[in-house]
Amino acid sequence: MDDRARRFALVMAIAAISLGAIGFVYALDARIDTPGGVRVVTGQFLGGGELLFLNRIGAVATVALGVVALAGALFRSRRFVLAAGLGFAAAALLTLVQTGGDTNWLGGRASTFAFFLAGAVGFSILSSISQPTNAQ
Amino acid sequence: MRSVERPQTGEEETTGTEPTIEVSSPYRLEDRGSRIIPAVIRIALGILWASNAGWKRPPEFESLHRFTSFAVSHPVFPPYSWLVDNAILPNFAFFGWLVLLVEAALGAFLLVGLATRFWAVVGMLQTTAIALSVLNAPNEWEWSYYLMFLAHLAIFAAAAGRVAGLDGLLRARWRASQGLLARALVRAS
Repeated sequence: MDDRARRFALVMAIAAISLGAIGFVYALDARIDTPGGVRVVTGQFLGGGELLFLNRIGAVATVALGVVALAGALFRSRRFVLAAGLGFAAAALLTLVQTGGDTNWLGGRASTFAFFLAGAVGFSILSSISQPTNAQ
Repeated sequence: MRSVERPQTGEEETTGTEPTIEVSSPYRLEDRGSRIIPAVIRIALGILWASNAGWKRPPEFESLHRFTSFAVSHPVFPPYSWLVDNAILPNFAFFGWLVLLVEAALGAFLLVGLATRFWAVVGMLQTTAIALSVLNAPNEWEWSYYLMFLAHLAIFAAAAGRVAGLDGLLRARWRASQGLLARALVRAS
């Protein structure tokens, strides 16, 4: 894996693990499958938006996928990074299908879908970069 | 791991007698801090769109419907009000999903910096649509939409995905490829 791609994957993996871990702490008081999810970042400092919702299952899934991506970046394993990308794609699809419904396994909303989509696109593309490049 | 030759793009030129000039950056900003600022704006805009996708809640999209209705009750541009009244509000489920997907995609792609210039244009169009709906609504600050538009214009002008973004990682490969998608991505980045 290209060094720059590896660094990019590292940053994304750490961000995913951090958001998932924060989400898990926020979701401790909620039922494990709370459909509406729990805000990870309330967004008060971002104008009152609803930045990211996860329940405990969604938080654990996010951390797990982040760990897979982190392992891929650390050990230069494109398969692991691709696995993380596909996992985020599945999480994004699941969130999109279930958002607004009574059943919501990951507790996500459209904002959660956006973050999962970023993980899916980012890790999948990073896993395809195999050769170093000198020019930007 | 093997090295790859630098692409002959015309962006990097040296001769045997002249000093080497580092011009690998597409916009030749010398200050590292100045290079990273467009990336910071891009990521902030990604968070803005992602977080605001969060309150678009299917299947009814009640809040979005209320804000969209302002285009009719507090018109900004009469032809747009007519369009909202006769095409968008009667088919609101479709429109709601479209807004959700576009804003979530804006958030995702701006966060990772892929096809940033394309998504900056989409962001400007979406900002314009929002402004045409709510600019005259109560308790709105119209400059927020002008600033949103200008922020997208800034990341378009700075090609903000080329620093700390996937565009920067992939652009050289796209330039070296003859494929239609790669050529489109060169333009979109």
